[in-house]
Amino acid sequence: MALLKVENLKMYYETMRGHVRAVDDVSFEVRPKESLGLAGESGCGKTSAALSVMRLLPHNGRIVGGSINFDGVDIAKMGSEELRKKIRWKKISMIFQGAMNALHPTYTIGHQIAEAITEHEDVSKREALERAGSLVELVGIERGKIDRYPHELSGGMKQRAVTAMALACNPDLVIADEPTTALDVIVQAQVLKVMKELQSKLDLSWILITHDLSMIAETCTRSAIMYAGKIVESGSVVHIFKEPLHPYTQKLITAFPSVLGPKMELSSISGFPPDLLQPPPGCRFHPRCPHATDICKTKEPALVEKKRDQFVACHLY
Amino acid sequence: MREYLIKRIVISLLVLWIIASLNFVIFQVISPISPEKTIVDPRMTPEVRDSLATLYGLKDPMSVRYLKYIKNMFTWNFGVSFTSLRPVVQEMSTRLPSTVLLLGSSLIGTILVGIPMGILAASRRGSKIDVLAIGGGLFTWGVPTFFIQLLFMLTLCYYASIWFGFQIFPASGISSRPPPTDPLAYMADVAWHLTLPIVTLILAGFGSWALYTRSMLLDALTQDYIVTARAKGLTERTVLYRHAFRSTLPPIATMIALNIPGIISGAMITEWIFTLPGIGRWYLNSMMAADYPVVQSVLFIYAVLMIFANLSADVIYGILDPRIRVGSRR
Amino acid sequence: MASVFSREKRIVYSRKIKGFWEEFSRKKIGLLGLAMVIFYVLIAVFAPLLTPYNPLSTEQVAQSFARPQWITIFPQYSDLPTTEKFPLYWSIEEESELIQSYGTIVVAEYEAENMEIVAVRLAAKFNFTSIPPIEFYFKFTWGGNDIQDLKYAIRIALFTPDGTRYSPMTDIYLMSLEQAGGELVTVQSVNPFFRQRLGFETHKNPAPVIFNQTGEYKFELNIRFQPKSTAASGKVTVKDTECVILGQVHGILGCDHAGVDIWTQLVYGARVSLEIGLLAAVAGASIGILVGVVTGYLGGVVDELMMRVVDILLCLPFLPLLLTLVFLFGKNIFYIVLFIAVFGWQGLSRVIRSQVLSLRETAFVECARASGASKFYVITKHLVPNVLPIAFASLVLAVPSAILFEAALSFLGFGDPRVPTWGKMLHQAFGFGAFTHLAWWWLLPPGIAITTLCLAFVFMGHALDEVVNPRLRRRR
Repeated sequence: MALLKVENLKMYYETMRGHVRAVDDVSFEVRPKESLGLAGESGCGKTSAALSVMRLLPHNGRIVGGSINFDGVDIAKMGSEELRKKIRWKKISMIFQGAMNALHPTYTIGHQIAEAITEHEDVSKREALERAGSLVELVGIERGKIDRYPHELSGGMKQRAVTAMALACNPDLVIADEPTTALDVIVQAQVLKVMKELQSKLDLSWILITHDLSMIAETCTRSAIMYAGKIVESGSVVHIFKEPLHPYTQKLITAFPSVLGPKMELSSISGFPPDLLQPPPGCRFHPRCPHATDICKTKEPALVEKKRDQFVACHLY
Repeated sequence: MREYLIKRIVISLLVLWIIASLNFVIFQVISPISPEKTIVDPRMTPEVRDSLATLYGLKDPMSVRYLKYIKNMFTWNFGVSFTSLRPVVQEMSTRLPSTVLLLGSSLIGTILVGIPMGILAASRRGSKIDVLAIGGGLFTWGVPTFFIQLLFMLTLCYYASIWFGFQIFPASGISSRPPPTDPLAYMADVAWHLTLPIVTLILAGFGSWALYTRSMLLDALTQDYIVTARAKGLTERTVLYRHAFRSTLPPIATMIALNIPGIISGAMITEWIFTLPGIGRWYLNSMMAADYPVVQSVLFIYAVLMIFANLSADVIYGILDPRIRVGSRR
Repeated sequence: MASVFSREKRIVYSRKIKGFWEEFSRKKIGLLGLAMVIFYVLIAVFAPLLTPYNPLSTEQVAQSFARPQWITIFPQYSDLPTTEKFPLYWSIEEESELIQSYGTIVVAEYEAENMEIVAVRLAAKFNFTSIPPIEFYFKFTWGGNDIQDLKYAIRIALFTPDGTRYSPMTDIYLMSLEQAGGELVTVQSVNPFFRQRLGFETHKNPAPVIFNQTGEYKFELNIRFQPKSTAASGKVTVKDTECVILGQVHGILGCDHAGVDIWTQLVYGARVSLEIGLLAAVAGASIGILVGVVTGYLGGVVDELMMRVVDILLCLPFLPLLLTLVFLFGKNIFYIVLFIAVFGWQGLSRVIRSQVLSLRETAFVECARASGASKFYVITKHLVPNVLPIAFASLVLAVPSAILFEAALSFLGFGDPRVPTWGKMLHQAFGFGAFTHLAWWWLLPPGIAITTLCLAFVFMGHALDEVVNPRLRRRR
């Protein structure tokens, strides 16, 4: 029984020049205590999909189709007040891209974490701060630092603080959007370590959004690869990495050079990601796909289960 | 915070010194009137003239005169008024309260009206409140304050006395003559006299505050921490006030500092129109009577008031922005 | 080669301007502002065609506080008259050979025959058909030529239709001086001496009493000659006699306390306001751009110093200081514009400076420096053209504040008295009793004019700001 089941989600941005089809018929699911890695290039729609789940879209973003089933309830159709009280942070929380700016500059991090707690639970401020202290300890920050302001913390600490904040109300699902992008490599490793510890200690489900496939390989059990607003391949991480089926996935995996392996020329994918205002007809990857055939240019491939727990959308299969 | 404060206080004193020097330059150096004529007047008694001459070093070389002048300014030795032949400080002390009352209440009133309007406008973009706030802001920019005051005076005082037989608000003075003896009645009387001046000042001034708050708030609402706040499941109200508005408070404090010159000019004109006994009207009358010591002193006092207001704004800013208040305690 | 280059540039510029205009014209409020500004510019340019009067003239065209003429549409004001002028045409009442000419110019020549007092009498009639006026005056020019040993007197009396006599209307008594040329005499009903002469108390208005009926009024001119010797001779001329019943309504906007047309002042005031506003704003903006660009680009000590100076200038209370400077250096419009410009540039310099700071790091500036361009070249060829759009928007917004400054200055009485501005109108209105007379036609027009002109620029500036300011463009 899936915890989160996104089915045929369509989310467009309304702009003066037309509809930008950021999320176009996307389906994936996250099972309890599972971690799903959502991967893809910048602009492929992964953040948009995440924001849609929590309905944190900007003014011009609209969910125009599909369902988002959380624990059996379609939260895409839920009223905003109910969503705010029951789902946001309580059931699903998020760690945003660029944690530096996600924290309010004039409140202490302890206050900001406690704020989330007192909003959803009937506890006193003091108790909430106590819990905030424990939470930051979980992510490896000294308890006393909850009285610090964001500008007094380093980048890595801020990232971990935001992680702690996401866990404040013991949610069932945490969405982490590019949690290590703005950090240097050493700090990245620290944050990853913390996340893996949390995974093992707590009974959460995760959605990890990133363009870094190696991170997904290290931390997730399942993965979904997005391209131009669509899911092109999904399934268990082991299977996808061992035997990537979709041409795009294959290219992605080979694009990351292995430090230990033999020296190779850097391979990249030719071309540019498509314009989501007017995406190419048929399979959206066909302009850049080395195996493209005529049918790829006209008919969109459906996501089918090719092998056990491995789904792919490609006319090759 | 401490270093910040000390730095600001030092700069303020420096600026004050520069302004006193400017005063000196304007009145004693480049003015077409001879320096003595700006300090002493034939109407004064010889003793007074002599004491002033020594105080200001009228017979000393310019460098000595300069130092004495600065010292006098900083010690509130403003000389003697030509028209009343009394010490300027004494005259000022009777008039300063009215001006400070007018300045303070109009500033506070403008903030209390302008800021909430700006917040409402930002939170309801495109609504009637938004249009009103933008309209009010642009209106403020274009309408001369004194015209609004003349209009109000015309209708509520003069036309009112024709239509209703009495003036709804008095057209002049800060209290009736004779003033009521009971202190509460007296305060009420003063309040009644000050209503029109203050209300018109607020009317003329709230617009720019509303506009500024609105644009600052709209900017703040695009920040990432607002998305975080919403994601946390906080109410829109909390997001708007505790998060968005809170982060606009420091720039708003700066806005106070920038607004002060306008408020001082506005108060001066107001005192003139409504014949209020403040230093503004005194200043204007003194210029017409060529009472130089008064003119110099009032100019200096205005500068002092402004610097004080700026300093207060800086202090408030420091309190509101934790980056300054706490610094970095790594 | 050079010409080709500049042709390319021209194409680029014209495209930029077209693009800019497309965006600007999408903002209705900006177009409204522009329309209003054009309206005022037209008024300013065509001022002489819009009014026959000179803005600085003190000629009284109607009674003081005369209402606007169009007010007669309303029933309670329908019978208020405009100014009526009655030039007097003298005809001889008593036949006399001394009268050499009559009509508009009366010449009486005397030659002594004996020591008797001789007098001539002429009369001029006119028909008065309006309601009793509040003010009137009459004037004439008199002169004596070749006067020898002669005393003479000119006496004018007025007869109402029912025969009541008012005399003397003048006080030109026995003269024995040589007088050449003409002396203009104006006798006003508001004059207390005149009132006393006629037997009224100084606070009582003779106009409605004298002209309380319709019908034929008659002026009687009496010239008396008294010889001092038998050789007395002389010629006395009286001409350009006119009786003016001042109207209670006049023109488009009535009159002020001195009976001077208000519409004229308003229309010429547009010229002055626009000139002052634009001049001061442009001057201030030039300084601001210069300072902003130079300090932003050079940085370092120059930058720090300038910013401190700007900080200090921001600490000065503008209006009091401006007033002091005018007070000390004289109420000269040139100084006023200069002072306003000097006070106005700081805000702009800050904006320009931050723009320059961000431009400084751009690639094309670095390229220019790398290829050896001098600082001057970079500043003039690269930085200034790129800051001009923002500077332009700020300039448009600076005009209303310059206009308001000048208006405040004039209102307080510190403006140039030779220049007709709207602020001066309000100053006079406030000081000369517009309130007590409820003369809304004097108070409202200048204020509304200032407001609308300033708002016009504000609307334009607001729209411009949204077009050129990169920060504001990302509006959702």
